Amino acid sequence: MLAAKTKDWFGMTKELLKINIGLQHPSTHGVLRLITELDGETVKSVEPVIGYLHRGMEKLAESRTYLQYLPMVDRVDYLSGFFCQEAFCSAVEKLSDIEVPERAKYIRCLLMELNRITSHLLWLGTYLMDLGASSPIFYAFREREMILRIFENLTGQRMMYNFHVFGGVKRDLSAEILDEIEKFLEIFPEKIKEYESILTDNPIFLSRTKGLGILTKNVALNYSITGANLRASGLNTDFRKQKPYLVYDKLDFEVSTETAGDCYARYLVRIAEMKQSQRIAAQCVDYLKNNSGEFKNSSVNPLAIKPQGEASSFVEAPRGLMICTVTADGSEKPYRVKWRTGSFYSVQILPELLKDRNFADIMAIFGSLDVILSEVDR
Amino acid sequence: MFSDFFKGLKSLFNGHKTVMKQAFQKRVTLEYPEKKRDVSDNFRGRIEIVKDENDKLLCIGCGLCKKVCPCNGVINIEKQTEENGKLHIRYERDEAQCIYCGNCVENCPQKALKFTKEYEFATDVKSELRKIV
Ligand code: SF4
Ligand code: SF4
Repeated sequence: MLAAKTKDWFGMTKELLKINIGLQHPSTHGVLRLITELDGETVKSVEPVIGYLHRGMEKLAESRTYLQYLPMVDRVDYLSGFFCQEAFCSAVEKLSDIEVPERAKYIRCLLMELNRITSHLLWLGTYLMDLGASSPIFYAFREREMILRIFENLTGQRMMYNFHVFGGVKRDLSAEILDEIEKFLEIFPEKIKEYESILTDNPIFLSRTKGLGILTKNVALNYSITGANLRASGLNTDFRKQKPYLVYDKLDFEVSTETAGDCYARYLVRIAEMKQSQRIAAQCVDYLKNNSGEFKNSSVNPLAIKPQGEASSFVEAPRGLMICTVTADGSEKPYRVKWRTGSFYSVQILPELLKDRNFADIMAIFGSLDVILSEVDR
Repeated sequence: MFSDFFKGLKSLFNGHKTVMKQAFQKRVTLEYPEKKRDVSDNFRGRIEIVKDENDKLLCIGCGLCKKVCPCNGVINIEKQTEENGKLHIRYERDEAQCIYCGNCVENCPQKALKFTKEYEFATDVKSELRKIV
């Protein structure tokens, strides 16, 4: 399709070429459509079109009870189900004043950190695939599979866990599962080293990511970018530190930041985050092995939850800040549930980041933001 | 320029080292339809409607499973009284709509539903997925 005519230096008319990327493009991580206008190889404008994966997550809540909605919450972001579950559960717990036992909090923390590792590993594999390297995805999936097996043994499914209940978790972690997790956590640092040895100094990878897609601190803040993308632009924000939920205030970890704000910095931040997650998970396993306790608040009857009022919960998900706001009117169904997820804001920054870049860089930049479309459309 | 050359050589070497290391290890994948992986006891597979030794359903028709189901996995539970005065329960499940969340299994007071380890039930006849007991 031809569009908008411009004149070049010699007064000749030049026409911008309009190209549609997507809907089903292997690099769009879901179904995103990008309408791009090209001048030769240079991108003049990009317009992301979203909404193709809309499932009405928010509306569905209004016709379901709290317990009925809980299994669906995993699908808000199918790569990090535990975070969505935590966001919704803790909002409802806040609303109805449900105490969560200490052990349950540690279990939730542990599962979430393992989930963060799986999510970042998937990003690593697919991003490198976007850049044209096909072997890292096998290494990343190899380790991801180990965690998914643990999750499957524990919860019964690989990605749609439905493991949280109001006031705790469904099952206690048995000694075998803790051993399995410990075994994984022992070999994992070795594996991160392996990824770094093939990537961090690789000249091809460096030339495709360094200095590309620079997101400055101010722009990032103006667009409400959160999570690893913001930390790669030099801002030290992490809700696990700033507004500790669960037991994060008792755990020892660092927030990893970079200042460059380019694709390479985002890669470094995510690699560092995986190391920190490993550290947190190891501490949680340590606690769970040496302490016993209740894994759920047995006084809660999930069928009889009828809260009133409004509450929000903040969760630092792998793709940025996740907020779930639940408004309740005292009936057994929520009046309104609102999700705020990181990817939605990361998509909005695309027109800014991709302007005047090379056409081939579109996927290199887009992939580095770690967008997942189920989270954008909800 | 030479340093670039050596950097490239080094990363080439590193890449090959990683690949070779993996090449001599046990393979991590299975050849799926021929070989199958064991799933754990907690696995949420196809749902079985449990019967006791007299071939009678454990279900008492309380309807709780239908109440907690998020998406019409449980279609209908009907209590029918037979001529001799016995209670007969007609339980209808739709496996195509079920998302295997486990709400019904966990909330059933009679433990009348059970997860099995079966996960291969793709079919081209939709009515096969509707189970009436
Ligand atoms: S909850 Fe159990 S006993 Fe009640 S109707 Fe369902 S299967 Fe039957
Ligand atoms: S597993 Fe979930 S979706 Fe399926 S029938 Fe039971 S409650 Fe309904």
